[in-house]
Amino acid sequence: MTNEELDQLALRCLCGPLDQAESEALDAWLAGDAARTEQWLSAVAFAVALRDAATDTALALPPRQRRRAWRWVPIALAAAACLTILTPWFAPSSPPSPEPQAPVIAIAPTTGLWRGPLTVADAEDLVIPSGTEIVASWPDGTQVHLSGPTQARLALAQPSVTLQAGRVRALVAPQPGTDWTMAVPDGEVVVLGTIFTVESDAQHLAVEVEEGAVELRHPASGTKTITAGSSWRARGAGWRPDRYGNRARLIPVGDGDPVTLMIYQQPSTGDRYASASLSWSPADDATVILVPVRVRSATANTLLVIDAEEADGDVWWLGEVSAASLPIDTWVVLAFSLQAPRKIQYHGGDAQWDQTTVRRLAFSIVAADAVAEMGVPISAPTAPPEAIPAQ
Amino acid sequence: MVTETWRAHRLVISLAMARIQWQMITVVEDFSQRWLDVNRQVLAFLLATTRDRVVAEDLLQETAVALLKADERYDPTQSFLGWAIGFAKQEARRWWRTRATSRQTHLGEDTCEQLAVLASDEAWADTQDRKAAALRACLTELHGRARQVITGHYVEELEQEAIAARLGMAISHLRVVLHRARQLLRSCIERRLEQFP
Repeated sequence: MTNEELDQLALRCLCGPLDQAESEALDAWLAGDAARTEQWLSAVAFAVALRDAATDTALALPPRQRRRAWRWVPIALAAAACLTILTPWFAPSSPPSPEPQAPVIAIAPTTGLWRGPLTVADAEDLVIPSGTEIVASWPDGTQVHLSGPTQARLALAQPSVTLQAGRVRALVAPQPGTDWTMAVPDGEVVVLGTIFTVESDAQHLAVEVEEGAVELRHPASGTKTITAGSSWRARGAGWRPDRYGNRARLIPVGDGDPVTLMIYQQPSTGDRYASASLSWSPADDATVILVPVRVRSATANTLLVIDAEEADGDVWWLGEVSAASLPIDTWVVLAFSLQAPRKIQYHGGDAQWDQTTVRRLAFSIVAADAVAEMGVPISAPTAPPEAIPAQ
Repeated sequence: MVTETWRAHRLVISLAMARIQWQMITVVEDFSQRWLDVNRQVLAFLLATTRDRVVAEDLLQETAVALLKADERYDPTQSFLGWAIGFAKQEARRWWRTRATSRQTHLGEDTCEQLAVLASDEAWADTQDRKAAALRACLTELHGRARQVITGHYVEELEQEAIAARLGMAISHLRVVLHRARQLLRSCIERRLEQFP
């Protein structure tokens, strides 16, 4: 088999199972040959790495905007020369002085369909759909590339960009005597002359600096200077709604806030439903464990099951999260409080109890089919779990 | 007096609990970090053996559970990658047994062992990690249709027909573009690894 054929088979594996003929052909080719086995594993590793890298950079804007502009420079110069030559013949002897142009942010789509405004005179909220990329240019030459899906507010005044969610790459012109700032959920990025990228969604905030430096002010980081070539990531920053629209906070590392955790109710298999909502008294101190889980597949039978072990050694099933209900390739951070004795309120299914003393919380990832084998009573919920008030 | 004794008891219990909690936090954080460091290699091994992304990712999660349960037995002086691949191999074998009656073929024992040995090799894994890092940089050099074709295949996981229809090109042309894009990326990776060995 050629490398191309191996690459193609590896790609097929990433998208679904090989069919029998493909699998047999691969077996026959491998036939216990060590060198071929390495070729096959390398092809698969390349496919996995390419998928990860392409997913991470899918929203990054290629620097083709400027390249394309250069192609038009000779034509523009020629046109300007013609106008210079012809203008004296057609222009009035004393042309009126031009109206002073009000500064605007110019917007140009570079990829996909853009139905939004082409200029922003003051401040405007923009929603860039998935698959669309735009570049916003400030009068001072600052350029911000926004890759959909992104929600952001652009303004001539500070902060110039308020990023609600999405990915933004900024090439900031020198700002003599002032700071160029970008607001991010719960914090801000102050530019010290640089090119940098900010990515934010409900699960995380990431700042990556290519040139210069930025100062990040965020509860999870404090005030932190990020220099060229380095980056900073916070998992669990921000908010996300559960399926009932309640706001559940995922707690960033080091956050000393009282724990509030919503475990999302989700369907497991067929008509069986299991729900769990777990809360701690805000008055209690909290010791927080953060378990990062990268959602890599949306198969319906993948669950994250949370167990609690009581002081007497009994283990109770507390809740589950379906990977199918979570965005693929994002980080999910589950927070657990371990302080005991702990008052736990459990809602969902047929069971409800409180004042249980939790000695240990454990997490495991199992297939949904295994839930039935755990002997856990599962029934359809009669009402949504109570909303946990936002902190 | 009783109250003071009780307070002292509570203090001792609280300190003990705090110590246990701290140890547990450390254990889980250590495990998470170790797992994140190797899970791409483990996934590659499982994908190479099962040839099915969904199965491989399910087995990856089962491997994570098995590793976590056995974490107390892990010897930190040994390679965690090798330890993890060992568990993944067990999961893959278990999956094969469930498919024993299936007509679908599976790898021979020799090939599986060779894959496991190779995937456990720290030097090989290190090379793959460096290639993956180079690949990220190389992807930014990919433009136009090549980039769209890579995104369509590897990110959106679309069928070739769908990508070809979207880009208005014949499937044969699409395959050529995909082939060239991968060649370009491989050359770029090699170049970068030479520049930054």
